[in-house]
Amino acid sequence: MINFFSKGLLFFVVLFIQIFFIDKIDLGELNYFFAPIIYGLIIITIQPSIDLWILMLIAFLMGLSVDLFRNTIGLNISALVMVAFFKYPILNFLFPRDGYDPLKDLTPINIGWNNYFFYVFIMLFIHHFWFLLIEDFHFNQLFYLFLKAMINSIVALFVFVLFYFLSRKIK
Amino acid sequence: MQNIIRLIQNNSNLLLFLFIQIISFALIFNWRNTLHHSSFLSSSNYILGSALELNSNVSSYFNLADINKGLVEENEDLKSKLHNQEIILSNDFVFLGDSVYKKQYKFLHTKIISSQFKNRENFLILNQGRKTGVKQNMGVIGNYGLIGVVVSVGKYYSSVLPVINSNFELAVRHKESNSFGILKWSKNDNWLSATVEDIPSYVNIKIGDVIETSGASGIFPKGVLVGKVIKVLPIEATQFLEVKISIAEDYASIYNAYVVKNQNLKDLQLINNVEDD
Repeated sequence: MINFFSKGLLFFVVLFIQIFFIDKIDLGELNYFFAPIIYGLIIITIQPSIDLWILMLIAFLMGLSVDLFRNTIGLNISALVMVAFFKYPILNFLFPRDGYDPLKDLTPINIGWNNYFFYVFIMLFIHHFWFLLIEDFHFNQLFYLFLKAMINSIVALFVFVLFYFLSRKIK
Repeated sequence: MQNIIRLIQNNSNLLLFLFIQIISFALIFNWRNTLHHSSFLSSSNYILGSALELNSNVSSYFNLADINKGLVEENEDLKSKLHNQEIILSNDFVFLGDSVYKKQYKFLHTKIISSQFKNRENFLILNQGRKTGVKQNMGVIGNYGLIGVVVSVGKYYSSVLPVINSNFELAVRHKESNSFGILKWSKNDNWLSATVEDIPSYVNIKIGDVIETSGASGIFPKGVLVGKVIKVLPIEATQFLEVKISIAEDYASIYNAYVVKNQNLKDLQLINNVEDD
């Protein structure tokens, strides 16, 4: 059974950190390469037993609430629903049958550290790349977008691992 | 018929996905084309605005030194203008309250409670709204120079389109030569720089020259600092220059702003309408 209450609470914590901490970090010249998107944490790591259409509706609501804060209605919705849609195809592609327990969240302990890094990185890359692409809406700087998505995915992956350790401490 | 229903049943997830994507793209293009956010679906509404204000109230304590420095510099600038005016020697006195002069611009002090600088679509949120007379398309200037234009107004909060948004465009001029150009934020600009286009190539522009507002649009007073020139590039096969400037305001640390209200805007619009007809 999915504990929707604790997931909802976690989403508000993640949203809070995204809007009020990560978006405010000022790294001078490096600002352009430091804009990680971490609010996809729940969509990416929630247990795979949940139906795809429910997952997409949840992603829609989460994306909308981020958009409201950032004043970019539609941008984050599109990116997060994209992540939700590609979650199951990528899980099936990466893992063999019975490679993961569909009733457990996708944490490093449940699916193994290597798998976790690989899977989360690919999901984060999809999220960043699609977001940057429709934000720019030009194809003439694809390599630059690629690099930016790559770097930010690695930073966001690091934040995800921190979140995992933190949530284990709280339990 | 049965086949169609079965097709929809089998691909319902894909259809839902496409449906949501179409909705979100429609929303994106809607606000990108009109630049008008509804005041409910943006952070100028009351709930989100108060959350942002709470955050700014906490975090502004860490930046009091910066805020103070900005205010002191601005004060110094104003003082120097004031005292220089007193020294002017002339035969007849002019009272500023005289009926010959009418105050054209009014300024309303606001606090910037949220500022973005990392994305392509950046917005600022101010803590003044309809209640204190802020309207759409009013100009916003800061302690150092130009900030942006108000795009959507809630009851207590309003959101601003700053220079560092790819949709921003404004007529500006080169102070030394008075030639006009168009201020834009192009693809390769970061949050400290912007581009001025449409300046003819015969104009002599040096590094460090001042770019300021032209006052033609009527939403900003004439001569508000926009930035200083850092690079001049001729555009190939055209008669124009591409001028890179460093913006006067640093959007990563920006706290005070003034909303500009032009009291003669109606007259200007009337004239513009006559010209269009």
